[in-house]
Amino acid sequence: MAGVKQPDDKSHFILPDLGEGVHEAELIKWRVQVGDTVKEHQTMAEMETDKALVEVPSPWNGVIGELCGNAGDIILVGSVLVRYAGKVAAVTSAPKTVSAPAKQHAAPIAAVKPEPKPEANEDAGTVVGNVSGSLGVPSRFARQPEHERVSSGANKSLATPAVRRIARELGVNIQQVRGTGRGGRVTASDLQAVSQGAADVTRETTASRVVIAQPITHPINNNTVTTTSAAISAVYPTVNRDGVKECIPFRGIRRKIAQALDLSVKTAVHFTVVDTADVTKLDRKRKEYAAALGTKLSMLPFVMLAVCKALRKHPTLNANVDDTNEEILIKEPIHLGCAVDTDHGLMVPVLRNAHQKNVGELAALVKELAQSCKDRTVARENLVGGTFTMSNVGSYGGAFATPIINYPEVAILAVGRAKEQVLTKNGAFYAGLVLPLSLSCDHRIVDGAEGARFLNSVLVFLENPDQLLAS
Amino acid sequence: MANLTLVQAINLALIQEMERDERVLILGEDVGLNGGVFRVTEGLHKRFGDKRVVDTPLAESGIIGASIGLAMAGLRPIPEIQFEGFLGPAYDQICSHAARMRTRTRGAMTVPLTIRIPVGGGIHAPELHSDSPETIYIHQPGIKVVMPSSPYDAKGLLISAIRDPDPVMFFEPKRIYRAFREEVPEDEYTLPLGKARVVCEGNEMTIVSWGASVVQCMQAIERGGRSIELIDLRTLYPFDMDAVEASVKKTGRCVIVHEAPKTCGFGAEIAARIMERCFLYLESPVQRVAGFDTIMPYYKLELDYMPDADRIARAIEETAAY
Repeated sequence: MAGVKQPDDKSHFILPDLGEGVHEAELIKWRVQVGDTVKEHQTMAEMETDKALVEVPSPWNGVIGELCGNAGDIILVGSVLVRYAGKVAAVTSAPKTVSAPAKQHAAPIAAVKPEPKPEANEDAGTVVGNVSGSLGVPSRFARQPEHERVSSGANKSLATPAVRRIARELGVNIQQVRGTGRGGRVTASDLQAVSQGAADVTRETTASRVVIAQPITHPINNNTVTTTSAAISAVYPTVNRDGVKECIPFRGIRRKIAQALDLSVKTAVHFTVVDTADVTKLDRKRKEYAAALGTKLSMLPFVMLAVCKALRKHPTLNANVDDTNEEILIKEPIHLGCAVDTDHGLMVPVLRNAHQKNVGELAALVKELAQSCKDRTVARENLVGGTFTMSNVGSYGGAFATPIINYPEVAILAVGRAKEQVLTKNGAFYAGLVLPLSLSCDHRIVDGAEGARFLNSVLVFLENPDQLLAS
Repeated sequence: MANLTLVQAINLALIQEMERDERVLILGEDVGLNGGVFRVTEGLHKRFGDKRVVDTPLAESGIIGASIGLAMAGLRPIPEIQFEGFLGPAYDQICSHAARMRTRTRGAMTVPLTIRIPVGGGIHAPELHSDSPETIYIHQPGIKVVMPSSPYDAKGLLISAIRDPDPVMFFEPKRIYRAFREEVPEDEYTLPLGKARVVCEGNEMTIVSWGASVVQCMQAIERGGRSIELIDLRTLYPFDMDAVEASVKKTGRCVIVHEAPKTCGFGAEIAARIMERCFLYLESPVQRVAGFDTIMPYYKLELDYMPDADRIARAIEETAAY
């Protein structure tokens, strides 16, 4: 029967669409009574649609158990019309008939809009078959304004079905595993490592890499760093807790610093090259500038200027590495990260477009950003997007360092404390101001020779202030 | 806005396109005086006359052949094939000529033809009146294939099809001709061919379907309580693989539902594309809920043949539990 599926157990008969696409029919007259035995195709009732008087036959042999409705009632298509005796199967879900006075619509499935009773002049049919009115659209699927969707597979773990099966068998949540395979795929050995507790860094850790990061040799307690990375499920030794004066939970910025450093050390292949620059002449320039500007002026903005100029000669060091997509992204603008020590930990604000700024502007910007880090008003966008980082270790006293790269950048320069030293020139001694420089690079991207050439460029600029300060 | 059935929406689209463009004409069996076997062209003969609404002999090859000629001569014919089962005699004209004319003439001529065809089962009709042969024409290069699942989409897609410079087969699912109504703007609007509709968004699984089966999918989703994304392809050639890809990469699971027989049904192509584009994201095998590999049964068994909410719900549970 068109559009309506009669029950398999033949316990009842549902009023089908009677042929004209109408959704209800008036019961004119019963042609059987309760207790009657009916044969297949025997007429049970006369019903009238908008179009015609129709004889409704029984679809199978049976005994009438109940007649659902009286002459004059409007019966909805999809409602039970007749129940057969001796069949007690589940009919509770079947829709009920509607008596004439009520005429409520109780269609089996709520349509988006209630189906109006076909108008008298509306031709609702077909000459072949019956166009059903019994299939409705549940209301939650009502058309919504179409909008651009931004869904994607980002942050999903990538794995072949075979590896997914291994994950299921090992009971490992594959979403938590950081893939080391091609394009970041989770491999079978990644899963083995995780299940054996030697685990790699989780995705969560990876995701938190960006914000506050930073390196270097200063007040980070070595113990703390190595025991960081709470997300790692590696086995750590039991720590002797005797004599603990204060126990500081490993949380907040401290933990973020640790995670970022940990990721950098585990991902980037570090090497460090060091040298010293004779900044005697530059120091005189510095004092002239300070006098002219009427402010205190450190050596740092001059070194920044030298770095910007040297990066233009060696653009590979002004880059980010995208390990997920296996790409090295050489950057056009120089966004210079600058490590700042604060009461709550190391922060690295970024001087955007440092290459477009002069010494005075750089000095002012560093001062402003450092202050905003110290009083924690720094905007988040000023903590991300660096292309190269500098750490002014010297202001606290060190000479050389082995700075840790602010990953995903590829290089970092630590500037030590300038000291007066005895130097030689043309076989004669003289007293000069010496600035120690330490450059760490990611050897995956920057070879040793390139790193040394870059450092030498910085040196040449610092030792030739006229060249450095020429616009 | 009027609350229209799918039949009424198509009727409205035809009237508006005929008013707008005098090159548009309709031809087919009983489409004129009678108003069409499903009343789709009702009132058009009276309104536009027998030069623009033409009753043809019972000869599908002739209907399409004549339409190709009219289209190449500059008109925009909309032939109706009364039921999809009668496409057989027209197959040669469609695939040997309409589909190839642009290539055959190296782009000098196109065939701006929209063939309207009622399709599918569920209406208690006899043999050759309940099939789902869309995949045959999707497989034939050179033809666009459209199958709406709602009155709103039907109007917008039909207008796009009529204005398209190449042959479009516009399949109209009979079962939902009058099954429900939807708000359809009186103003003309078009929906782009080749763009799917995301009926509802979800994260747990993607269901891809088209035509009357979309409504069955809604009912299955409705009863399950899972977060399921339902994609109605609307256009089958070219089909919106980008929409499918984005969704499956998000959900990792996919069920494809169609009324046509499973073997070489269009679900097979979609499943293969998912393998190509989403392999690393899949968490379960792509599953198909389809008609069986038999001749569409007579009406007594047709509802057992067609995918319904029960079968779709079972596939959803199997896929979710994989």
